[in-house]
Amino acid sequence: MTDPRSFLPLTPIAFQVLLALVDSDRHGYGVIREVESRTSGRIRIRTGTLYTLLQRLLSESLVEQAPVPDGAEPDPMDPRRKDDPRRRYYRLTPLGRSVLRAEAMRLESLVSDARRKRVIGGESKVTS
Amino acid sequence: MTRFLLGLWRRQPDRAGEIATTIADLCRAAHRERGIAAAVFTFIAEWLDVIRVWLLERIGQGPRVSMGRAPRLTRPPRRSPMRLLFDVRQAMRSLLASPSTTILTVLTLALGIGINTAVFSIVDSLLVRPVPYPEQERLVSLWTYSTSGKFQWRGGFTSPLTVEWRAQSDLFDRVEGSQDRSVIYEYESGAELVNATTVTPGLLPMLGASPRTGRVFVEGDGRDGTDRLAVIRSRFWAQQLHSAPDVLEREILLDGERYRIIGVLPDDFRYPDERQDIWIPLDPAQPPSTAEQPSSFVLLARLARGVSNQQAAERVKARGEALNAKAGGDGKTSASVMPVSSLIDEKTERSLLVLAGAVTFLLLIVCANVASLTLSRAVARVRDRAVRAALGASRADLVREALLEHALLGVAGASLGLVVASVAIGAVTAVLPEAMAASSLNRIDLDLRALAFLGGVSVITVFVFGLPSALLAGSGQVSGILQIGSRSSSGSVAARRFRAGLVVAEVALSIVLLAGAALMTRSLMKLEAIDIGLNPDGLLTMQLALPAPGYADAAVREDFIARVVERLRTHPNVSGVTAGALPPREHMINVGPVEVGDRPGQKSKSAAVPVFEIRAGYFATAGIRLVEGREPAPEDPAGAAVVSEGFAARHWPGQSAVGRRFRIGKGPWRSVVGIATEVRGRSEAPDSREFEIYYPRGQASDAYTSTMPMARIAEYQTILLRTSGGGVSPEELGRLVHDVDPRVIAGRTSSVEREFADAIARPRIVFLMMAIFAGFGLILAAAGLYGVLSHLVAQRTREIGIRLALGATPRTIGRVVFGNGLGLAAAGTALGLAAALALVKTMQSLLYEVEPADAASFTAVCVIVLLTAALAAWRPAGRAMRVDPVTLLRDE
Repeated sequence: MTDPRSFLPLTPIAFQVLLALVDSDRHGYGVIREVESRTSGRIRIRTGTLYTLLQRLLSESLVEQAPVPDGAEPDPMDPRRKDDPRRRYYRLTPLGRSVLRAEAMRLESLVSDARRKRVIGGESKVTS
Repeated sequence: MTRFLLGLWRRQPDRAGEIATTIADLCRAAHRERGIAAAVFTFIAEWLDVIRVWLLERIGQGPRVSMGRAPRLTRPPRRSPMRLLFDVRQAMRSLLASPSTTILTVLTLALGIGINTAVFSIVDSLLVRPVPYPEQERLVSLWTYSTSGKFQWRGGFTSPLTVEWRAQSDLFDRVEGSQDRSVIYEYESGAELVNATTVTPGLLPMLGASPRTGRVFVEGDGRDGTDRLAVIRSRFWAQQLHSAPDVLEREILLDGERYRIIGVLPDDFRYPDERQDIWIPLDPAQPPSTAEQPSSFVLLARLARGVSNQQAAERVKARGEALNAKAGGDGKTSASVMPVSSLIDEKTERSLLVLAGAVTFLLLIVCANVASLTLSRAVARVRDRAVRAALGASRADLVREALLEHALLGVAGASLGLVVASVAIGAVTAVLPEAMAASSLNRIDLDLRALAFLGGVSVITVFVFGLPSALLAGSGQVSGILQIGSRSSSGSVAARRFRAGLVVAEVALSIVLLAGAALMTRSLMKLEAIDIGLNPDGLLTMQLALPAPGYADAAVREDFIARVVERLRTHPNVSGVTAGALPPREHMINVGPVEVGDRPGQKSKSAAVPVFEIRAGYFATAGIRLVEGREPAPEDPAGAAVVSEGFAARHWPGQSAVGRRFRIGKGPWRSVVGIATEVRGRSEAPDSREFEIYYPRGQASDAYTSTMPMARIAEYQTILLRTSGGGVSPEELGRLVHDVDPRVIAGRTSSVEREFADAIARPRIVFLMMAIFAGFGLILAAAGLYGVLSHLVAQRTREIGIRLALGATPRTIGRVVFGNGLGLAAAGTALGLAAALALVKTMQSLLYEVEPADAASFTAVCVIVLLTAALAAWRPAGRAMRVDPVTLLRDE
């Protein structure tokens, strides 16, 4: 397997997309909504960007296409409609998961360095 | 945008559907949460992003997974059409990475390819394929010549003789003839002399002339000369008949007779050359009885199948005298055969071949230069390629990439070369003397053959210049390069040696070009220094044709001339006017042995002496100096004459000729009253001087005139004008003449200055082109030398630093680099001199009073080349001297 560290550092947007796929398989719209709600609307991925990035994550084998889940969740907007067959679902591969973990650890160590130097930390409670 | 979306849909329907669904979802969400405006905004913003990302992807700037790695453009699989496109894009990006080198390369290629194509077009039109006629390899021209040996001439055929040669069907399929003549074309408001050609009816069909409208002649046309048919050129139709659509029902008045127009030939049909406007049929089997019709055809024949030129030449020569006797001739005239392709004379042919050679040399220099440039690029990227090879790029891949880059350079160079070629052809045809341009029956332009040549030359050039660097790209020295690192590697050393070799070759080739240019310069200087014997500045000649009705009487003609001279003198820009032919053209001839009064009975060999009839003020107007004596005066007894210096020196060597007497043949005795400067022939090198004699008007009755008498013209007269200030236009002159008598035809007005300039136009053009080629060659060679030395200094900076640190002085270092450059130049010079000495022999016949191995020229060439080399080596040497060992070693 490719060394996950060879992908580091990830671009912020790739990090967010991988993170969105951690807990469940999602389609493109789902990814956009997940990132948007988790970051309270601070990060809004646009469609063109997302799909090009997904294409690339696919070719690097960090994500793969997932089968449409059984009894697919009804269309979020229109519960009467069945899920649109044109939607494809994506999920993390084991490599994708380790890359995500490696990137998180890298960021962690960076942040703890900053904390040790008291760049942040004292006031962290205030902001969070 | 729609097209883009449709394209996206077609190529990746799944992805497009996915994108569309997602955007629809987003819009719906926005609508629900924030209203319709938000939905519209979302729709636009999302689609714009799709386009933005798609565009960014094209230039490799799309969204990335990892910050560390540039996105790899996915390479389409082999044999897919996208693969080539992908590779082309890669190659283009790689070329644009070093724009200055690329631009320099493309410009050099464009110049080389363009100039070569231009010269090819000219040589092709004038030499290789001057005859655009069907089955031209079987076409020959026939000429008569005297077998008695007294005089040498090349003559034509009478109608009966033409018929005799037509009967020789074992030799010829067809025998057709033509004769040029001037006809008077009369229109409502005036009349004009027009170039026409009388042809046998079969001539135009034999030459494949296809009319734009109407028909050409058929057998039976022109019988007895009574049907009065004419074929005209498109140009004449446009200029004289204003492209009248009913041209085929028109009649035109030629020499006072009505001719019916039966066809219009396109402008690019040229026979006998491009000056003809009208063709008139004549059947030699039934020639007209009137004397005005020609009886001296130039014959053009198509050889019977299986008869070679050689066989035809022998048999024609063998039968010539007998046929001549049979046709009513004196039997002392035979005939000879010449291939039609040799329309241009030997010197022009030689000039063109020399230019073709020179331009090939220039192309070789261009190749060497571009090879050197691409090689330096390849060397600079040798490490890059080695890494790629180590990562699995195959040798074939690397060579393919290199070749693709070269092909792109070639395409760019060829496209720009096309522009260079068309500009160059335009420029050359503009300065080409009329006689040279008209000597081809093909137009000089960028035709299909020239384009094919351009393509071929480009391919060969790209192959020649690209081979070394492509080989370097594919060489298997990967591990070696990576181990040794960036310093220097065996590959770059080999490349450096190779580039040094290229520089030597470039210098050698430029020496050859420069030697040619230098010899032409010296020759041209000598030609221009020749005293032409008259003052051509502002001198004009105008031809007048006095019509037979009304001017039959000599006194009337003389009166008219006097009135015209007076009328022209009133023009403010005219400072002198007289009438009379100007040497060396349009003269009469006195034939016979010259007998000198002091030694009666003792005669010189028979000669043909040009004779000119003059009027008062002739010498002053023409600017011909009288070195001794005076011009004939009205009160002189009959027989006064002015002779040229050469004539005087030959017949009265070492004595004054003034007051002496002579006569030519059985003519009257003449006495010399003045001696005039010799007027140079209008040939470029006045080797065979013909001396001139001037008689007062009306006293040359024993001389032959060279112009053909025409039934409709009583006499041709030349008016000589010395103009100043703004000059006088031909139209103004014509008007002034018509003020005196509108029936007189004002013919061609020509500038004597221009005519003398045209006489040396060929050497001047050869000189000009050689000088341009040599200049380019020298600049390219200097650039090559500069490049090699700069590269050498850059590569050896470390070595130079160490040497300096070890105690070498900058001066020594500079001397080494400088010496290196001069060494290369000297080697090239030596090689080039040897080659030039061998090659300039081919130029012998083009040179005037200059030896091909002219020491002065060759010395000058060597000095120029070595000085240029020194100039090119100066900066690299200076850079080497400024290397600072401390900084350098610290950087290491």
